[in-house]
Amino acid sequence: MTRVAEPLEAVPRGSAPQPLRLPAELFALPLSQSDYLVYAPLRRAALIANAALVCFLGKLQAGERSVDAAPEIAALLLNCGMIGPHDERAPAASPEGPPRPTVATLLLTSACNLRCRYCYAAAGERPPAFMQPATARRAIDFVAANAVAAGATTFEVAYHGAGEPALHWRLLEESYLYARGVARSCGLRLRSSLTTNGVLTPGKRAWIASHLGSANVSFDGLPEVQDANRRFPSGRGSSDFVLATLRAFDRAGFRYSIRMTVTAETAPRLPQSIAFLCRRFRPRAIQVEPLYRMGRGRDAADAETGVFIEAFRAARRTSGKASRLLRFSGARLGTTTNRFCGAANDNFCVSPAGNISACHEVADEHQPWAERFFYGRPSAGASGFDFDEQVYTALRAHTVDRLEYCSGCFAKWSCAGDCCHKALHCDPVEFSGAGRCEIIRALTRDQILEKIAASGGVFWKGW
Amino acid sequence: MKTRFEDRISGLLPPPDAAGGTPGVSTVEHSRDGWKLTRRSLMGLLAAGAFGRPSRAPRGAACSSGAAAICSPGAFAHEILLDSLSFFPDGKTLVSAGKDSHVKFWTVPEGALFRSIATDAVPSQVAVSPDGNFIAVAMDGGHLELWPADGGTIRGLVGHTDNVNGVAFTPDSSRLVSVSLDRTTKVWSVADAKLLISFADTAGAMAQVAVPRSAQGGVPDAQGRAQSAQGRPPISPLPLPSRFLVTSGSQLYLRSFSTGRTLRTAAGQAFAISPDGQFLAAHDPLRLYMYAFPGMAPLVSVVEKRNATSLSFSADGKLLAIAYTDAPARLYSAPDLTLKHEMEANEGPCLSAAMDPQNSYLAVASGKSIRLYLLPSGSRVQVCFMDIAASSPASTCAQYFAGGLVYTIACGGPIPAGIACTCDCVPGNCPCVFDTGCSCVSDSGCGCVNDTGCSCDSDTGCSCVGDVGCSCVGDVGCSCDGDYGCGCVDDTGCGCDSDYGCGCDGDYGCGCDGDSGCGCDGDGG
Repeated sequence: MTRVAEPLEAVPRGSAPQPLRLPAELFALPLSQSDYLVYAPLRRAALIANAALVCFLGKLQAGERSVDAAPEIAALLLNCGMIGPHDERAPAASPEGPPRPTVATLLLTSACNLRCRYCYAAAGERPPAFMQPATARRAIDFVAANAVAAGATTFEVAYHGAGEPALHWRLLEESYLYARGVARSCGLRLRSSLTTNGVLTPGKRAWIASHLGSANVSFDGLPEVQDANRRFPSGRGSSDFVLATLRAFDRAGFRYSIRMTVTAETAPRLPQSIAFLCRRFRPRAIQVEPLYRMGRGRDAADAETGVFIEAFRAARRTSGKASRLLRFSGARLGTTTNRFCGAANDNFCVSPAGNISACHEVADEHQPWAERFFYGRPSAGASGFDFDEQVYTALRAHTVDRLEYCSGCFAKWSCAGDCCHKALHCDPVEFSGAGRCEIIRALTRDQILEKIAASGGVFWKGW
Repeated sequence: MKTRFEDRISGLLPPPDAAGGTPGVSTVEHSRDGWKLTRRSLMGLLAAGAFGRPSRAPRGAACSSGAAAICSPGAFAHEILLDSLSFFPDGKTLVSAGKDSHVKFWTVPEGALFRSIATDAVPSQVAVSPDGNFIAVAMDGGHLELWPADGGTIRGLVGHTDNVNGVAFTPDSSRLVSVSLDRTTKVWSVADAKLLISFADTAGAMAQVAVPRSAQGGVPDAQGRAQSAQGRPPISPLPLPSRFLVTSGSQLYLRSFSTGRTLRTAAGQAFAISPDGQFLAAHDPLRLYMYAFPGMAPLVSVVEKRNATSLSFSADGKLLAIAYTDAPARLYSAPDLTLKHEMEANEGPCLSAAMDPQNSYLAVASGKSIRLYLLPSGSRVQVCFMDIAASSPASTCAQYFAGGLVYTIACGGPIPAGIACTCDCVPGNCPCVFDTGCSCVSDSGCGCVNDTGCSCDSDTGCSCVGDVGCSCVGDVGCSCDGDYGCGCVDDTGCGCDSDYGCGCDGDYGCGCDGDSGCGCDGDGG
């Protein structure tokens, strides 16, 4: 006869007994024939268990065993934080009502001075578009007003684009100064950032370093790798320019991170690239992503492979600095969320034409799936925007708790379903993961194990 | 549609084959590959809450501290390998014994040598009594001596007929126990240097010996029942200093202190007993063990296929240092045996590790050298234990007088203020310049002065110029490491004057606006 398990009870000193239950979100990943990583993501707890313990936990969770017979295991689970007085709450926050963003991402232009082999936006293949100053000012006014209404102390202007924002330099400077004036008049602090390919003149570098808060520079590591992938239209490599930009930023003490794309061909050289960057520069982070098979990279060889995973691991081992700096967007153990990015959170990306996209990768109203991401346009009046409720409601619904495919995955509360735009390129009908899932799972598992190793080797209790 | 992931513990189908298995946990630790599994049974300790909230070990703790010792090449503590290290109770003096037949005394943490005594035979172990009044020196050929710490007359303990392998004082310092290749374990009176009793080691010659503090609880007999050592005839009219002693040969022997009878055996060769007498750590060529003492119940074991020579608990019992002949010394937490720190590679076999009784330092023998580490971090102390007589002819040192003793210290080492230096770190004992603040400390420059000798080919990014990257000031083309030019490409030009399409010829934006006047951006080309 199946016995229904009673809730565990813990008796903290000086308090009444409280019922304790095994986490509903409890996962076991095989590490070897007899060892498993047991992970409770919403309790941020993990330990290495043998098969017998995993089996016991499974029966306990299914109500087939009672913990009464195993006080040692109850003590162990309490000790590890697997069970405890805190409720296990899945993150479920979602914005309500019309979008009220406080961050404006200005996609200043689709023009680009490089012709990267894998550009997701295929920049340079169509006549470029440039944002009008009035559009930028309208967006800045909108997010600043939202910040004031929300009682926030800051608002943010980010320069991004499916092109090189620094090519619309006049507007970049002008809009920043305008935003600074708005911030001053509203009593807000302005945060600012720039995503750039790093091909900048000395004057631009100096201005960026002295005005903006941070930058994200695209650079592929070893100069020969950069020159092979990120070229000028003439075919000339761009590494010398970007290296000079990085050095200028270092000299100025400016905060910047590096964004690196890894192709199937360059993955084996990732460790060398990371070692090169770590030895010579002082970025705050190096984000490494396998090539997105879209835009000009749609026909490229798949880089979401085991080779990437091993290269990433090897790159982290090249130095302590590399280990600290290296990032991959989907593996982020420190984050517990139901949304991968702002696409489900009213991300406010203003296209050069002035329309609102939830994703900076979808910057052109004519690109595939634009209708799923463009959810707003300038109002008829002099200020504000009109939003399409149906679109933004659908975007807000793209949370991991609603993704059937992810329901059994241990990494779901940190990966949060990954990038929905990239997923569409894999399966436009129903989210069904991608090669990135394997990367995310492998690297997240590494992060948990490293947490355990750094916490004494037995268990990790993240609260 | 792809197959969904199913990591849920209740969804594991088929469930792991655990028939007959006991639920347990293993551990994971840092390794070169980021982490590695270590198979250990820790259930009991974990359930008992022995770990509490885990302390966060520094990232990369398993790696070397990276600190460079200040010993110059050729500077050594002993001429031949070091055999043994032992701290005085105050932690301020370290005694070393080497195969060069010398026992040396060093200040800690300065590393100044202030006494070096030649022995009649090769010493195998030195031990300082817990009260700090005596040093026992075990040597080859059956020699065993008691040295008064105040410099009094050395007394020989005559009785062993072959190499004395190990010695240990009782916790009250009243007795000394020795083990020998002659297959006897002997107990000596420290006060009068007399042999009190001798036990035959029927199982073979013992290599190490230790006498724990009197522990609570009995020792289980062969049937697992607790038995008391009380009631056995004392070996002298004095109160028994301990109920047990432990010796090791091919395995561990827990023995009655009064009779020498073996009460229990367990796996292990090199071993140490925690200061509170609650735990015994042991190592054999295959595994590292932690036992409850004196019951000898195994608590934790770790697979470690290394040749351990010496184990030592910290004064608070929370750390365990292990010296290996064939691998870097390691620092484990106790009693859970979690690796805390692995020291840098040895310069030679590591035959001894000793913990400071004040819980501040760990001393490790490394070939002919002594290394000092801070506790509990395991970070290397920048000190050189150097004897000019044991070092290469080209070596230099500083010497100074203080309190009637001559102290020898490596160049760059700390010299007390106001002390006259007798050697200015120049070979050949050149005359000292008095009262100059000892320029002996002046030759430790980094070599980067005036940009001479800067090793720009190391992979540190050429930190000689304010840590901003090589001596490439002015961006004039320094090529410091031959491969990527150290980033010194001329960055003052926009480059629009050459070959990559600044002419706004339809490629939508060359980015050459501003400084170079190309003006192509912002207007659609």
